[in-house]
Amino acid sequence: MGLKSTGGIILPKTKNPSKDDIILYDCPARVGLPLTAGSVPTVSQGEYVCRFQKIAENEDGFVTSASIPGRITECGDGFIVIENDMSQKTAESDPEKPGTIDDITYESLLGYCRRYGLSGAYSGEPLYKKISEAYGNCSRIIINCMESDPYSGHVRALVAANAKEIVFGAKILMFGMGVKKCVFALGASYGQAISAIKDSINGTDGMVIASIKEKYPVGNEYLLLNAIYGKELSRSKSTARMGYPVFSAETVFDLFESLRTGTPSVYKVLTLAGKGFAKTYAVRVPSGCSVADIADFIGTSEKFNASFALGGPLNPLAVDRDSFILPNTNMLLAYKEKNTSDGTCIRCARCASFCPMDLVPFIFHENYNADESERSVKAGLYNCIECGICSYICVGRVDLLAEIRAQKAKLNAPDEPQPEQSVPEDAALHGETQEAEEAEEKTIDHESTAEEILDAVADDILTSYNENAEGEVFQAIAENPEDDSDEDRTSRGPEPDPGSDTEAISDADTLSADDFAEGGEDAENVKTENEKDEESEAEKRNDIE
Amino acid sequence: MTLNRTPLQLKHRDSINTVMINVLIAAIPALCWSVYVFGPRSLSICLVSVISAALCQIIGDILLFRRLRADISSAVTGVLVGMAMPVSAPLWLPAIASAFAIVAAKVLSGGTGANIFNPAAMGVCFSYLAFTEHMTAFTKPFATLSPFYIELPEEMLDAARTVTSVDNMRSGIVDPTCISEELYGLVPGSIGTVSALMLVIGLVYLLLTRTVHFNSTLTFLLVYMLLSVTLCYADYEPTQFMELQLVSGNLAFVFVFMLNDYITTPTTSMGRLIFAVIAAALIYAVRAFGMVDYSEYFAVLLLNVLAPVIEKRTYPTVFGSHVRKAL
Repeated sequence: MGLKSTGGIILPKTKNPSKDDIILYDCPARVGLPLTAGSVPTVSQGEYVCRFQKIAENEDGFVTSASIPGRITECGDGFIVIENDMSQKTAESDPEKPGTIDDITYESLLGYCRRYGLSGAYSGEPLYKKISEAYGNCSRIIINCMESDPYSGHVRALVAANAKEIVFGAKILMFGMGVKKCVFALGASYGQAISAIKDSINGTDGMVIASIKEKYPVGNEYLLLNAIYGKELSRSKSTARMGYPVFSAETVFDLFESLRTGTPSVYKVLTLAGKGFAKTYAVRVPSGCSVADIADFIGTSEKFNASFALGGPLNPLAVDRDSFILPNTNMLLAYKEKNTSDGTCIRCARCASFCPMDLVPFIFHENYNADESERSVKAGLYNCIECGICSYICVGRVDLLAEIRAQKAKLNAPDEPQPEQSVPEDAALHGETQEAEEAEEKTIDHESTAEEILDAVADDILTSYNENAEGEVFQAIAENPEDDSDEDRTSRGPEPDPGSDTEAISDADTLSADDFAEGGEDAENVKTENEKDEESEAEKRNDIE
Repeated sequence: MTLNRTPLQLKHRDSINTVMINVLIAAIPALCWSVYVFGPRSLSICLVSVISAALCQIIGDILLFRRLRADISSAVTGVLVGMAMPVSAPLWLPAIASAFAIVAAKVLSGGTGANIFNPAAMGVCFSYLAFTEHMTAFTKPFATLSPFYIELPEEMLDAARTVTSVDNMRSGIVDPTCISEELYGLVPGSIGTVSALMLVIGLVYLLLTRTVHFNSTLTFLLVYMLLSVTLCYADYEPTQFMELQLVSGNLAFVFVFMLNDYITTPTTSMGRLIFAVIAAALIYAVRAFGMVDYSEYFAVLLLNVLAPVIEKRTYPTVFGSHVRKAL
């Protein structure tokens, strides 16, 4: 069920934490905030900073803010490390925060994104860049509510608990970018999250839900767009430049929250998984939180000495305990170290048949053994999204992902990677879809219709904003952080009634099927694979565009 | 900070041995049938062949300082070499053939996964060229040959000796009554190759476990049927000739176990289809014009050379059809 992307795999089901609350952990002993490209620290070593205080800025005015109060112990080398003094001192909130939605214009939105240091939860790239790339050449935005990794559950939990905030955040983006269409991409089985988003949209014009078949790695924006629009977007440009800006649910949530409170975005939501943890947790931690602090807070297995890795179970990157959570980290794994041995490729080509990017990964293995990384580039090494399916599926137990990463690292070792602008432009889209796309773009005149759209959206947002903006959810957050002793796991959001909770879940399956079937525009989303004829594909596309 | 390792947390259950065990399971029906038709001597030939293959693999790995693996792919090679022998072969012949297959075609060409030629086909071709007399001594079915004689006595061999239907076809003789006998395998021939039906059962198992690919299987069969109907080289009804072509000789055996080998055939789906067409044409041609027995195995070696050429031209277009030159 749901819209399908090319390639990828469906992993066997296990328990996931979608029913659990997100645990808030607010007092790590130290955090390390990475400096984004071009950022210069505005503080020096030994200085004392409050939470939300500016610690670095780049030439565009993109601000990195302290996520905990304390003294700076390390400054430079890509990271600014802050030692927590547990004082809860916060900088004053921004006096220029928007009073109403009317204060949002394109320029002011960019300004807020820079000032509040908002960056993509999946890409780690600053949000203002994406908005400015997409502004003027897109007619819709896509809110990616898909889990980026198998067995992660924090996105579902976040969406289910904060659907209102995410929908408002999306409205702010639509308003600021002058866009009248917004697609929420949700997994076909995210029952609770789907109904929460449905309730929050509540018939708002231009907002639709796309139900996506949950294949790994459909959280990747190119594959998500492939599933929704049936197009293979070229990898030569970012999706935002091609008119399909994809924002993750967490980013949109952070945007709304920052604008509401006038404070920078200093939290990161992620899933903790692996044998080292007692179960799978969804946690919300200050950005740059150290791995050791999270592990001590949650508690790792006593049976073995757990090692840690950032990233999903298929594409982890091992780190030591002193490492920090990065802006694009969505999963922290605690695992038991295992002895691995070299594999043997028998050229069964399973890696090639499952590769979502249509690459032939065993060529990379051959080139790695022959030490000819340049040939791998010709075979599409840089098209690899490092999803790790090739390593997972390999019958010869070859660690293809490690070899791909090693080749990339080797090629980029002498000098920094070339900026993306130097890539020659290629055919943007596959085949005839390109023409259709161009035609569509021409018909939409952003300048002339912008006024009407903005008015319509503004009214709509204002009414719903006034009704719901100060919901109980935020009050719960505002009240709770004070009593965050290490033992006390403060769950964010109101405690869901256990009875209604299970009911909602059991409803979910029938709800997604029935509800969707009667609604004209979503009916297409539940079509089966067999009905993948041209006509229905075109209809699907029309609905969502 | 970053440790440059990818500690993969999930792994698909299939391994190389899963694939190899599937191939061995697919060979079981044909082996059982050969015991019924040719008696227990067929088993002793296969056993000698497997032991020789395994020993050569281990010794080769030790001599070349390679890491020893729990790898049963050499056992598969051994079984296939054994199945390609006539039941009258002396017991030292399968041992030499598998030793050659493992040492020349596998160990010396870089180990599992790096070989260009199918090891089993190499072993069979080598023993045919070196010991033609022993390899072409086909005996009647149900002739009881002792499983323990290293070399069969002349008189016992002469009493059971006969010719195969591939010989007859080349002489223009088609006996329509023998089609069903060929299908079931009640005819003279090599141990594992006589019964087309048993090999088809193995093929169905391989298709169900997705070890071999359905598209290329179908393409090969269709092209081969088309060729034998249109270019019938015996003076006979083309459809019956086609039926006999499909069920006779080593065709089914070569197709199921050698043309679906992962290592020595193209890996791309388009490449597999092209390979299947060329394979059907080449095997038909060598059967029509080439030597009589074991021509299919030589065709396999020729096709193995073509495989990388086909593969390089049929790599899929990357997603979005733009190959990035930088990150």
